[in-house]
Amino acid sequence: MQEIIQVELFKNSEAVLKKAVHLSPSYQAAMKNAQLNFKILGIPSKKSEDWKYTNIAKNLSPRFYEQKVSLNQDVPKLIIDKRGMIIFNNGIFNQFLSVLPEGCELESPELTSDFYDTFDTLNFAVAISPLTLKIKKNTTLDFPITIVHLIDETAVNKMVSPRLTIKVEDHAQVSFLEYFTSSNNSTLQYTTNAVTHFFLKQNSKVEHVKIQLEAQSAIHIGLTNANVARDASFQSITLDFGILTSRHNLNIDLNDTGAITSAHGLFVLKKLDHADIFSTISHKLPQTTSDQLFKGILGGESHGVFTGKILILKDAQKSASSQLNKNLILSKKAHIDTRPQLLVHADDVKCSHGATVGQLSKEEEFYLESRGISAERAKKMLCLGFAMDVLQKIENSSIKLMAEKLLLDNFQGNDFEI
Amino acid sequence: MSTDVLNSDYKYGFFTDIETEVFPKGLSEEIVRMISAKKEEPDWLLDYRLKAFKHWKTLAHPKWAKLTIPEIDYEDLYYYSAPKKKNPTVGSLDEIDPELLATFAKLGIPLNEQKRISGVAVDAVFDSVSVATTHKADLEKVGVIFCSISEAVKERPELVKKYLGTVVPYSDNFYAALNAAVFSDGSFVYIPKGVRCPLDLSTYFRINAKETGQFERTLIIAEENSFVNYLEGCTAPQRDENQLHAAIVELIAFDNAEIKYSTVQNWYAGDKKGLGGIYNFVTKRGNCVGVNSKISWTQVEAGSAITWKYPSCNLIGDGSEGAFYSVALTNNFMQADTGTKMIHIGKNTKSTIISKGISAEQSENNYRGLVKIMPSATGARNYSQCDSMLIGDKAQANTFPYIDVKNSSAIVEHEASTSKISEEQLFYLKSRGLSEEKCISMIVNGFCKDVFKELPLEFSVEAVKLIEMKLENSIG
Repeated sequence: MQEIIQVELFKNSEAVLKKAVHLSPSYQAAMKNAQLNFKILGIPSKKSEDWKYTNIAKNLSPRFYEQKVSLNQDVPKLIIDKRGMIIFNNGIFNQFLSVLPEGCELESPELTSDFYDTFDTLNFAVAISPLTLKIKKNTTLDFPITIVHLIDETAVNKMVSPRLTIKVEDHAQVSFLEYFTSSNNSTLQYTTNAVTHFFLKQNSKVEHVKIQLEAQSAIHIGLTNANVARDASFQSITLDFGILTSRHNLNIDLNDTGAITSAHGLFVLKKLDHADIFSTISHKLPQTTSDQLFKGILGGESHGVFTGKILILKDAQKSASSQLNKNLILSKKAHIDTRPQLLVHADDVKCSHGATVGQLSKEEEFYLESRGISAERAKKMLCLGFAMDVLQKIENSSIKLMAEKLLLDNFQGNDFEI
Repeated sequence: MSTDVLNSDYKYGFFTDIETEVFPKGLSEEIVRMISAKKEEPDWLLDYRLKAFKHWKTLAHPKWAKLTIPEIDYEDLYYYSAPKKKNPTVGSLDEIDPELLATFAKLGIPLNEQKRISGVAVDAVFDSVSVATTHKADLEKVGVIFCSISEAVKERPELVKKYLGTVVPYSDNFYAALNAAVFSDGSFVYIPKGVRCPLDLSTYFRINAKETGQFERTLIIAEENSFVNYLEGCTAPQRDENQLHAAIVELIAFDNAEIKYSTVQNWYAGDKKGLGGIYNFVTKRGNCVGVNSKISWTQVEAGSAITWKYPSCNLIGDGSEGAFYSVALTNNFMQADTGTKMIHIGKNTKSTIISKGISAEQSENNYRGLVKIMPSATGARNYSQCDSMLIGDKAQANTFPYIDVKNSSAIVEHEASTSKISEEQLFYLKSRGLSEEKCISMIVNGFCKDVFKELPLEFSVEAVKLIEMKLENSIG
């Protein structure tokens, strides 16, 4: 598989660059460089410690080069506030539909040669519509900006590569809802390889809620990367409702004193779903704080993976970090792998992590049933309660409401077998 | 007779100048054959060694551990070194070289049975061979076999043949293959049905010769309804070069049997600059084959330049239990990657993991543990707790738990924390007139209590002293 992808890339690298002529020559050169880098890195196999539990090469759609520009004319359904929306169609920024609120502006695309991993490199190498958004100093938005990634039939067997960089200047405060969805057909086969980079300057505050709602047979690879400066705060929430294969890389660097992050997540899996959350939080300087809660509900024959790395570097004295991973297994054939990891190189710190795997408590089920609630309903109620813990962490109330609705819909659906 | 090393805080760092018999350096099929011939082994064992050697040659050094291991030249090692026997057929202790007896006495392991107060039977292994086993007669009365593995091969070949390599096959990993090819001695224990071993059994390992690797193999079989408490201790002389120790320990527990295996590992760990020390690459595993069988590993890891060790349990029998209690202390430039594997296969199996890591100075202390619940392990239960304590701002403490659950009825819990000694705790104790060093040692002892209490009394006292000694002067 890896070879196919590489061959595809190199046969077509010129074609990709041809579509990128609207970008600056230096950006195109950087893309070319990334293409060469990707050739060296390749697609990771299960032998790599970071990809031990997810065979990503298996169903990847290699044909990323045929990025068709088919911009949708209709405003998607799930927009929280029409004053702020950024819309991508099949990885291409739709400038006609997108609306930027006051205090936000587009900048020339962010050039970089420092990549998180092979998929970040690949994304940069082929993303012909990179977008950089700047939130100006002291901007406070009282409504969230919705970022929609809409993927339709034209993406079948292809790789969709949206790339978004968001720079948040000093003292700005903003919430984002970013979701990935496919139009109607749930049997679309394609791969999303999305990258969202955040750069938070001093005292800024960002909340980022990512929801994965793609077609059942799609593959989603996503990176959320955040660089958090002095006294800035970044909150990330990842919700995944299950598809063929999804992998969420979350990489948060607390670069200066007083930086705070909280990273939470939930996956609800059924049938043959596979979800893999890989979170890395690096504490680089003193008095940085992180807090994590990740939960998983697994039904059918699904497979969930959680890896949570907390890295406390030598200079990060007086830092505090906590992480909790809880998993609920509902069926005999569901399967979870969890790896909470602590890497501590400073002595004056407080770190803890915990992981649990269990099932619904018989006592709780009995309690509800004895009050006349059907067994099935009682189970759903308990699962919902378990999942709600994560949604409660969402600060923006309109995003929270929408997330709750999506979760309820997911539970109401008949395919959620227990 | 022995040369004491001055200015040393490692009191076992002396070297015994004793006449030894060594095989030439290097590893080849010939050496494997020589070891086997020396031990007058039957053909099946030689075949086993050769197969393992052949397999080992195909393997590469494993890289997944978070350790920096300098390249080891396997051709530059002696694979067999044994003290020369004055009389080739040693029957009783009286015929053992007095220098050897004196060495063990100096280590605090008197082999002289009359002088022993506590009821512990000892098998003493010096470099590649077992030199003495005490209290054999007492044990034979109840049917317990406790002897060196070479002796067992000669006297009870049927038992050795049946069980050797069944828990840790030679193909298991790089060091297991190496050990299977060149293992020279070790202990063998067989507890018959329904016997509660009247004495605690103990093996004491001593590396003495220069540039040798020690490859010992321990096999413990506990038949139905039996019980044994087994202790293991290790030391080595202080040298500038690194030495390799690659052992295998296999435990088998049948229905309702219980094996308690305790280790106080104090191999020479290198000096303050990280020079020298033992590379301790050990594969330890127990199979709880029988219904309701129990295996517990308790370890105090305070020595070795590099430790690579994961005492594990395969919980096969329904209702079987595995436990792992560990204190790992690293200082100076020591590196440790240690933990356990609990593989739940049978129904209602239980496992407990308590791991305490203390890292001081520039050392690196990693916990790596796997809890695996197979689809067949209905009702499995695991509880893991891994705490790390950092002393000094250059030390590292890392935790890498792996939890794989394939059965929905399993309950698995993992908790870990990392901290340092708090100012409040120190202040509280100091205000009661204790010196800073004493305070720290008290706090560390309290931190390790959950593990120390699992050790047999004698070892528990030794462990506390060992930790205190190691931490002296390392408070920064």
